[in-house]
Amino acid sequence: MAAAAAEATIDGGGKMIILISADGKRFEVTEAVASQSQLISNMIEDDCTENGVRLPNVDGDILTMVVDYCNMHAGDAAADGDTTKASSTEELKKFDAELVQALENPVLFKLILAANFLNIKSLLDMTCQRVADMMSGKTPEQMRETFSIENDFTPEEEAAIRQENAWAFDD
Amino acid sequence: MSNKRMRPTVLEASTYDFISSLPDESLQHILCFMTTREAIQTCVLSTRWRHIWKSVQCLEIKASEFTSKMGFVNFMDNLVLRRGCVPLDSLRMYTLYQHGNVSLNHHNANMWVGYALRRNDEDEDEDDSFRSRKNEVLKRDLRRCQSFNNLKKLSVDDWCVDVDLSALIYLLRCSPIIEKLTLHLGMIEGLAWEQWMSYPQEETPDLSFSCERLKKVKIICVQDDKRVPAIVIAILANANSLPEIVIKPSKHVWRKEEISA
Repeated sequence: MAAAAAEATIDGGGKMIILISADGKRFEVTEAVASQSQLISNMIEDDCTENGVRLPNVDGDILTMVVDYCNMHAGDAAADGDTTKASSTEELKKFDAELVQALENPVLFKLILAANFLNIKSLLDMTCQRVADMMSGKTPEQMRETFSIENDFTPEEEAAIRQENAWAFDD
Repeated sequence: MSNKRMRPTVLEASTYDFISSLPDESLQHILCFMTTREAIQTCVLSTRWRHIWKSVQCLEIKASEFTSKMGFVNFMDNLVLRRGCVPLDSLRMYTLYQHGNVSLNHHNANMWVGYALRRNDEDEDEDDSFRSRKNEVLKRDLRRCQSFNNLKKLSVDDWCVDVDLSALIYLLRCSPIIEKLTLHLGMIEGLAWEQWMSYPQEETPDLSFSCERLKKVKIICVQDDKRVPAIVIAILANANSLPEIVIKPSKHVWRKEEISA
């Protein structure tokens, strides 16, 4: 393919793609790494990645984390018969666990937005699960406190909504 | 790479409501990872959250979250009513609760399951503790079910084959475009198997059904489950293009037998 001439290749044989964050940072990744994003995978299929992929709503800091994540996980999606990758499942789990544990408001939410936009299901699931874990077992008051959610109901309105949904609050 | 921007200042983190600025679909995705009861309780957080739960497409209801059977039943009835016709991807009901196992033997249970089957493309009905002799009600109500015209994947446990195959056959007759059927046959005691075999069967039970798109049948069972040959025979007798049938031991013996077309 003629367009490929402009793209570097590495010894793994994969074509390289440039991702460009909102603040202009450039990340060079292989197609295998980038195509974990369904969005980019579709762009690769449509042959429109030659001039780099601009991601106007993903900051460089967040894209760094996304690229790290995709680099770590490139093995499990692509490797068929690649046993060296398969053996690092434990390592991957550890990487994911550490990544997700370290995430806090607001990076966690920016990462959810990025995973949603780029359509990376495993990353989206992992980050949403983390938020759900942070909410689970808390009263609404505690949830508001944890995430700085401003209660814009009047006390009367809140009481009415509780009443209306009493079936979900009662034991 | 500076870490500075990634770490919010104390002020930033403590004052800005980032979570509420996520789009609806992300909030719904988050709520998918909580039990449905917890998800619904977010309705009082703020106006932003008031109706988010209603469009969550994965429901997980645990009876253990309720202290009474009444509370659970009331919850399920309200859930079905308030959620209306929003599509559903999966429904998981865990019916074991601290004072015993009640709920799916309730006369409304079929309405809940029927609701799920009509709302969605994929249904998962996981009843952890739902065992054979308690199934009469569900099976009786099954006859009143409408057709599940959208159902492509069905995963059920052994309530539908507890005495004979009639409930399973009935489910298949109601599911014209089903593609994949998974049967989780639980560990029932040896005695129960004997009983299953010795129940008076009709002389020539009508086991016909027509599911032209049925491609894959997966049966998860313990070794030598005597229900399996009967199920396989019934399916093979009716399948136009022979589906792939996978029989998978449910316990630690991971022996896989495949009968493929």
